[in-house]
Amino acid sequence: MALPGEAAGRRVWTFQRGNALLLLPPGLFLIVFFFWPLLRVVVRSFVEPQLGLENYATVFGAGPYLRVLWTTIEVAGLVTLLCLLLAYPLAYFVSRAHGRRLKLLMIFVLVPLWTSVVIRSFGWMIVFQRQGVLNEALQSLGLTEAPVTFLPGPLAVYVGMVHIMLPFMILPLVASMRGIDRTLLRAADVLGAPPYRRFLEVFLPLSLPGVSAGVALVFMTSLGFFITPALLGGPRMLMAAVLIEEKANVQLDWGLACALATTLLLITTAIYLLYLKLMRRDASLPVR
Amino acid sequence: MSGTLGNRIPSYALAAFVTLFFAYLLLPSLIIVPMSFSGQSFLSFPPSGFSLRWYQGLAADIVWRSAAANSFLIGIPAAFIAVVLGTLSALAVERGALRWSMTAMALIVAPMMLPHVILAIGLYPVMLDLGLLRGYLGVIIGHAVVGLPLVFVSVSAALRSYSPALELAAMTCGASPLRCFLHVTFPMIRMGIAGGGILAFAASFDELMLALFLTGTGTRTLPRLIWEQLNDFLTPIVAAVATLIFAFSLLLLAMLAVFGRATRSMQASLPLASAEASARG
Amino acid sequence: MAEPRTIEAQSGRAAEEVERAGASLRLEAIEKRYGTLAALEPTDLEVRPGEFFGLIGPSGSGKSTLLGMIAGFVPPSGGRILLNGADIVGLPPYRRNLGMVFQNYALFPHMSVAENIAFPLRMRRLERGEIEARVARMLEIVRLAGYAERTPAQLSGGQQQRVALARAASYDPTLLLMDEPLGALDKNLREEMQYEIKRFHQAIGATILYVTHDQDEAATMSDRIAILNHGRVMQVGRPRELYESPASRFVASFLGEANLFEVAAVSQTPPMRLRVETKDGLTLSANQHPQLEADAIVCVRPEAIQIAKNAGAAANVISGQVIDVVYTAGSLRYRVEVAGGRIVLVRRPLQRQSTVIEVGSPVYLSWDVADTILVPNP
Repeated sequence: MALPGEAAGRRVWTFQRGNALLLLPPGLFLIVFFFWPLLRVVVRSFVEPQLGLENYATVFGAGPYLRVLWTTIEVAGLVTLLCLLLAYPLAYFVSRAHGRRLKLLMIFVLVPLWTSVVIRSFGWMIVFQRQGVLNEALQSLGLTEAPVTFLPGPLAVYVGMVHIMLPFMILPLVASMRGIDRTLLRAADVLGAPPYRRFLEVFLPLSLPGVSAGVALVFMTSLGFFITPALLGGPRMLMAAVLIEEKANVQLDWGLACALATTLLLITTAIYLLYLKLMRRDASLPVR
Repeated sequence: MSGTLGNRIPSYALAAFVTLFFAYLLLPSLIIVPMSFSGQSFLSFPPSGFSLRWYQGLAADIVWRSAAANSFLIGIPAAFIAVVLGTLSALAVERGALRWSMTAMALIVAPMMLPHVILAIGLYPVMLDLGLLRGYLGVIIGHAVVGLPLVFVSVSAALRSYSPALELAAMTCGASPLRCFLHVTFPMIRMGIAGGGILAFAASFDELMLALFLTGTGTRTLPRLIWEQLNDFLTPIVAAVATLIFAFSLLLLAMLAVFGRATRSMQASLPLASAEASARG
Repeated sequence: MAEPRTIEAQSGRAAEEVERAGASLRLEAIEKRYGTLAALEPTDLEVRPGEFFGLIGPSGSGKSTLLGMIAGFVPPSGGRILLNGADIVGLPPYRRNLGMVFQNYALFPHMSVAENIAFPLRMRRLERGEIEARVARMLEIVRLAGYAERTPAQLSGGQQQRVALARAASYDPTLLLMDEPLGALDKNLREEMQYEIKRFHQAIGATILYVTHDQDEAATMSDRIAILNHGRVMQVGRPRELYESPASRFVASFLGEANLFEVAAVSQTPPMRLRVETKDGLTLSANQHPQLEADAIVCVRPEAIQIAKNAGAAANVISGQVIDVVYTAGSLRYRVEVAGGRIVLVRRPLQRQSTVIEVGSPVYLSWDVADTILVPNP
C-alpha cells in the first residue's frame, strides 16, 4: 500500500527546503525597513500636502526641478562616458598583468575606493579652491595671474565624480577582460588578423559584457550621487540627490521631496533592471 | 598576446598614461595628509609650517571624540546585524534551491544599488513612528539595511566556491542540519563572513545620507560632523580627521586582503561591492 | 563485450558471509515527478542483501534521481522505500544510516584524511578510542595507512576516491550508494579502482548500489544490473542474462555492440527451429522462442560472427564485402556490406597469427543458431 509523499500533504524535509526558510528573517527585515519605506515615499508623493498629482505638476512643470533632473541625467551620462574612455585602456593594462604586479596595480585601484568619499571630495576641494593646488600650480607656471574660481563649478564636479566612479568602471572591465580566452586571440593571429583588427573584431566585442555592466553600474551610482556634487557643484550644477536632501531636511517640503525621489527611483530602477539583464549573460562578472 | 602589445602604441606612452592615471586616482587622498600638519589655521596649498596642533585639538575636542565613538557604536552593531541577516539570505539563495533565486538576489542586493537619499527620506517617517529617530537604534537599522547586501555578496561567493555535495555528504554521514552547518558550512565560509562584516562596518563608518536624516546631535557620526564642518569652516582640523580616517580605512583594507586571500573568488566582487556602498552615502 | 567476469566468482567467497552484513532494499512504486515531467516512473525494484547492484542508463534516465531518493535528498512523489523492511521515506538523510560515495568525492577540504573518515563516527558520538581504531582499520582496508594526516588537496584522484570509500563505510552501514564514483578518473586508474571497490565490497560485505553510465564497468562489477531509460526500468538481471537475452531493442543496443535486423516474417521449421526473414531480405535461422511478437528484432553480436573467404556449414550464412577494417587493442573490427546495402559489424580477437582480410574482399559471415537472438520490440 503506497503512501504518496507530497500528494498526501506529508511534506518531507529536505536540506534545500530547510535552507529556503532561512530567507524569512532577512526577508522580513528588508520588507519592513527597505521596501515599506520606499513604498511610503511613493505614496507620500501623491498624498502630501493633499491627495493628487500636485507635486508631480511642480516637478514636471515650469520651474527648476525638471532642469535639475535633466542635469542629473546629463552629468551622470557624461561622467559614465569619461569613465569608460579612461578606464578601458587602464583596465586592459591591468588585466594583462600577473602575480605581484597585478596585486600592486589592484591595490592602486582599491585604495582610492576605500578612502571615504567625503574625504576624497574634501581633497578635491583643496585642489580646486582659490588658494588650492591647481591655482598655485597654474600661477607658478605663469599660465594665469589671478586665482581662477573652479569651485563650485563643472570642472571640479566632473573631475571629482569621475575620480570616484573610475574604480567602479575599472573592476568589472578587468574582471571581464581577464575572462577572455587568450587562445581566441592567438587564433586570430594565426588566421591573419593584424593587431588593430584583432582588437576591433575579437577583443572589443568580447569585452562588451564588462563594458555594459560597468556603464550601467556607474550610471546608476552617478544618478543618486550626493556628496561630490554637493561639495563641488554649487547651485548651477544641482543634482537630484542634493535637491531632495535640501527639500526634505532644510525646506521641509516633504511632498515635493518624495515626488522627486520617486522620479529618481523610477529612473534608477529602470537602469537596475537593465543591469540585471546584462549580468545574467556574463558569469565572469561580480554580483552574479 | 605575446611580448608587447603588438600594436603601435609605444610602451613608454602607455606607461606614462598609467602613471598619470594612478596619480589622478591617488591625488586627493594624498593631498590631505600634508595639509593636516599645516602650521596655519586656513587651508592653503602648499601648507607652511609643521604643527601637530590639529591632532592635539582633535584629541581634546569632545565633539569629535563623541562623533568618532558614535561611528563605532553604530558601525559595529550594524555590521553584526548585517552579518547575521546577510549570511542567512546567502544560505537561503545558494543552498535553498529557490525557483525565483534570481529575483531574490536582485531584491536583496537592491539596497546597495539604489540611492541612499531615497531610503533616507523613507526611513525617516518610519523611525519617527517607531520612536527611534535620533537615537542609536534607528541609524543602526538603516546601516544594517545597506550593509546586508555586502555580506550577502561576500558569503554567496564563499558558498559558491565549493560544491553543495559537501553538505550532502555530511548529512549522509549522520550530521543533522545544525551540525552540518557547524562542522562543514561555517568553516568553509567564515572568511567570507568576516570579509563581509568588515565591508558592512566600513560602509557604515563612511555613510553620510542616512546619518544626516536619522541621527541627532548626540548620536552624530563622523561623516555627518565632517559634513557640517565643511559647510561652515574649512580648517586643517578636518584634514587631520580625514587623515586619521584614511589610515583607518587602509587598515580595514589590509584586514580584508588577509581574509580575501582565503577565498579567491571573493576578490572580484568584494571591493566593488564595498565601494558602491560608500559612494552612495 | 567480453564475457563478464566477477571477482566474487574468482575468489570463491561464501554467499552467506556477504549476506549477513548487507541490507535488503525494496522499492515499491517509487516515482518522481516534476510538474508534468516524470523523472522516474513508478518503479519496483528489489536488491538482495550483500548484492553488488548496478544501475545503468543514459543521462536523464532517472538513475541519479533514484539514488537521490534512496539517500534522502530528493523527496519521492509517491511510493515506498523499504530498507530491511522499514519505510525510510519520511526520514531525513542523516538518520538513514546509509553510506554514500559522491561523484566528486565530496571530501571535506578543511579536514585531514583521518578527520574525514572520523566525521560520521563523531556524529554518532563514539568513544575517542573506538573512533581511532575504526579509522585505522578503514585506512588499512583502503591501503592508505600512512596518509592519515594529509589533506584531500594533497592526494591524487585515486587516493581521494579511496578516502571517500573509507568515510562512507567507517560506521558499518549495511547499504552503500555510489554515484558514478569513477567518472573523474582516467581509464587505467578506473580499472584499478574497479578492482579496489570490488575488494572493498568483499571486505565489508554491505549491499552496494552502484550508478554508472559505463556499461562495461557495471557488467564487470555487478551481480545484477538494472537498466534505465527515460525514467523507466527496462530490464533487471545478471549481466550475462541482459547481454544474451535482452528484453528490448534499447537493452540490446545499450549493452555492447549489436547488429539489429527488423523481422518481416517468421515461420516454423522442424525440428524446433524458426526461419526468420528480415526486412533487408536476409533469411536467418533461430532457436524456438517462447513468446514472439510480430514486430520483433533480431540481434546478432559482432563477436559471435565468423568471417571467412569461403562459406562454412553453419546454420546462418550471409555473403558480403569488407568495406572497412579497424584495429583496436586486442581485436579486429570489420564492417561488411551485405545484401540490401546493410552494414554488419564483425569483431574478431586479434592474435599474432591472425590473417587480416583486406578491404574489398568478398566474404562469408556465419554464426550459430543460438546466436540469433530474438528481441521483443515494445
